[in-house]
Amino acid sequence: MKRRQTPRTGWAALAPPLAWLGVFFLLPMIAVFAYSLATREPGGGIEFGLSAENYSRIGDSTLYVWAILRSLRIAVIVTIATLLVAYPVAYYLALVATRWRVTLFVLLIIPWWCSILVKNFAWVAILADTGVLNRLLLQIGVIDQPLKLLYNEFAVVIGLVHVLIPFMVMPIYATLERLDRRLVEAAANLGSSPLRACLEVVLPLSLPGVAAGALLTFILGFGSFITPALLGSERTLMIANLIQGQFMEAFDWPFGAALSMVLLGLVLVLLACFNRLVGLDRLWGPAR
Amino acid sequence: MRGRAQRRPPGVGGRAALRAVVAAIYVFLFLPIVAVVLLSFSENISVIDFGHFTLRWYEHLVRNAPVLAALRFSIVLGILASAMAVLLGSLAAFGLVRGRMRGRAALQAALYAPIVVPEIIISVALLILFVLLRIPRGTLALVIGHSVLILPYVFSIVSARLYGFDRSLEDAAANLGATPMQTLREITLPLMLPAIVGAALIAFKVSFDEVVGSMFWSTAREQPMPVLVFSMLQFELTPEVNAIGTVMLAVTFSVLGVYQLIEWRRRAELTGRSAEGEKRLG
Amino acid sequence: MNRQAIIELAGVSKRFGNTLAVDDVSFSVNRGEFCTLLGPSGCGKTTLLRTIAGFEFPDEGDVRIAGQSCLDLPAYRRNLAMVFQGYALFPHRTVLQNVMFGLRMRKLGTPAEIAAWAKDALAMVGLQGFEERHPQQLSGGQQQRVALARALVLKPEVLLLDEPLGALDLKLRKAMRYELKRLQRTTGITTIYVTHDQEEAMSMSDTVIVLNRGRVEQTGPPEEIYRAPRSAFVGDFIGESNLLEAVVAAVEPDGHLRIRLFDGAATAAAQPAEPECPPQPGDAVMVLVRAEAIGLARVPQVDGDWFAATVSERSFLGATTRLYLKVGAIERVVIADLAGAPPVWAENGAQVHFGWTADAALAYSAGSIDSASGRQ
Repeated sequence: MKRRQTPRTGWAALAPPLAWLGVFFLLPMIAVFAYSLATREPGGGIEFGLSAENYSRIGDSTLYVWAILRSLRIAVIVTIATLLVAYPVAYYLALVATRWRVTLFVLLIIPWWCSILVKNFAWVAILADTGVLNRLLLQIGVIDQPLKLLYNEFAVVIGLVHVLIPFMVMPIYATLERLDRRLVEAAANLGSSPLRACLEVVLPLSLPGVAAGALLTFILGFGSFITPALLGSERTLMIANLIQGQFMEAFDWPFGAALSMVLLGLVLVLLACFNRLVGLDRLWGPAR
Repeated sequence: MRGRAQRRPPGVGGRAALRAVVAAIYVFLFLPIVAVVLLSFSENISVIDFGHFTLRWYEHLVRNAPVLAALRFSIVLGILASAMAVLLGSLAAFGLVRGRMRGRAALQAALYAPIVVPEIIISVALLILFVLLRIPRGTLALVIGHSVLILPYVFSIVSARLYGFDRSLEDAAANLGATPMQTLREITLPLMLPAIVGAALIAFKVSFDEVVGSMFWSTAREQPMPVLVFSMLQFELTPEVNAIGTVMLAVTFSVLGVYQLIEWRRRAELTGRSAEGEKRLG
Repeated sequence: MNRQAIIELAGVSKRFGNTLAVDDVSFSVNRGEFCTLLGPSGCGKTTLLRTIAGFEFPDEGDVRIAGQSCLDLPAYRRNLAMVFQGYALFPHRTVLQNVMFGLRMRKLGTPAEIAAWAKDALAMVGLQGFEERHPQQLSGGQQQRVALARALVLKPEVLLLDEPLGALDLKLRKAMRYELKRLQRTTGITTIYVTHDQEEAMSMSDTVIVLNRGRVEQTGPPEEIYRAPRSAFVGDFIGESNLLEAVVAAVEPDGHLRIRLFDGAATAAAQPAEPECPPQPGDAVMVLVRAEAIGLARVPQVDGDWFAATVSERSFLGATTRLYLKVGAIERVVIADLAGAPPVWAENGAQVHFGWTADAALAYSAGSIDSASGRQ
């Protein structure tokens, strides 16, 4: 007797993409793990084994520990700063703007579409000693020496915040947009000022969206490579820069692999916590 | 919400402040991009001290063979990688949305994993795998790597549209005598085409702008535009760099423009036409 | 085996998860018949239709088309044509291409023949000239007719219709009911119609199958369903009725019952719904009295049993007036439909009397209470 074979045809369609990801996503991760336990031979080859040497090297070295902590600190600062900037935008788009909403939304997508290289480089042009900002301030006479705004942590944070704003706005907007308007109006009507209505009613309800945006922003900031490379210096190296250094300059792949595993481990822990508290489907929608 | 109360409702001052803050943030978002575009036309490569409008940086660009080669390579790579990603991503979308299997949440997480795992890790991991499998760096490695990074985007777009698909159309086709293959060919795929094309455009954009992975998987001769630009930005800053950036923006913007056009046409088709029908009676 | 029957269902059951949507349903539909599956939402009527069409597969039982079990046949091999609730017209094809679709898929003729037949079908539903439009450019009623043409052009064994008139406004709906019936008479095609609108079912069908909670409550022509509902549910679902609790006081020699209602003070006459096993004195029963069978009087008349009530509400329905009567201390509401203008003395708040004849009241034993509305 024939039936609609949907579960089986479903798996048949999923097989190629899952196989592809299995070979070219999962397998590489396992390979990195294997490499992190290997050692580099003097001749340049790799000796596979079960050595924790690379990990202990990370732990023993102040350079690397500081770099990891610095990356964490920058990521936290960037996440908080981005949240402060993105929340008003999301709030305005979701709950206030009516006629302009679509236009503003499109205007938000446009910077997301621009290449990160262009965006970061623009900040070089703006923050340099001879850049737009310094020239402007010198001309007005607010300062008489150009400010050192580039190739430091400040520039990296500005650059990251600029790039990550859309990633923070989207989940918060999605959550706010689904809120029952009547709740907000009721809060506003019950005598409290709009600000209090916002803080006491809207904010708590938007927390899942905030958490999703913060998670995404944090992970992207923590693992960022390009922005610290273009806007930072040797003193602001983040973990991704160190990994790249090991792979492309020092050619100590096992050590680089260990650094990668540390980064991956931290990210996975974050994702697991997020899943426990909020649920990963907040990031990409439920599987219906 | 317009023209409700004549007297000023409470919090209008607050609303004006919010509007100002949001406007400032939008300016913050756009200013750097606008600055780069302006600089690409500036004689003195300066916003303050603009000099006169010039196209000479673009002229330099046209004569810059490595840049042109990289641009061409990026476009070809984008087409190949997005084709791969669209095929795999669409299959995944059909499989997950239509298949009523258990563990769909986990499968979905697996399909979205390449977005949440930091790019540097994927780049390094695939590099290791390529070495182990003796796949040389270059076009093949880039297509494979890009397809992995792009797959979640395609999956997201196609599955979103597939969830909203009117199944009764497929039931009607079957009832009228269409085999499952015929239904797929005559009904499902034609109606899903806009979503698939849209996903392909997004896929192209993501591939075109991909930097980190491309860095690890390309060679001196087979390198996409972003890799070239990145090394220029880090080491050898030439005045055309603003023009290059503007060209990159132009490419991605035309892709976005086409995508938006398709969306608007599709929405107009669905709503505008039935409004006509309402005017006529039964 | 009934040789006239073209569709037969035998012991069909279907479960969705934990819910039993269809519970041991059996019925047959004869050639040329207009048969309606009627019932409230969730009663399983759409599931049954989809099972006949081949979109659902029964867990138990058999479905036969022209005597042959069709359970091995996938939907696209059954010679049935269905009109869906949302019409399911293909938006990326023109009206003509929509109508041609089935003919093309089943390869019933050359392209030229197919196009000609499709044009004829459109003419039959009154849409000639609309061939090149797209479905989105048509109104609801026009779309519905395209869907009909698309189904009829195939000359199927059976036409299946899933609440096709639901989205139309009242006047259009009534016009379409007439149209559909006329088409069915002209083509002679067997039709299975699904609806929750009992007026629709009664006005169009040769046979009505009333369903409730996945079970068949009653099958028969509309008049029989109306005059002799076999269960309190059917009586309550069709038409406007009162379902009153009562206790049997006595059984009269002629078969009528003396029942006690409205807190036991007064009695009235009724007849048993199942004369073969009538309720006994002392049994609890539900009495069904149709609203239009309630007689109204200012003072109790000599003949018959009359109850005192207060008019609590009046609704003017055009051809009739509906009065809501509150009875005595227990505040039981009884509905009475009066033809034409109501008497002057029956205004809001007025004291009136109402009653009925024994033939107009049907007494059901308490076990058959399964009213969809849950009224008592």
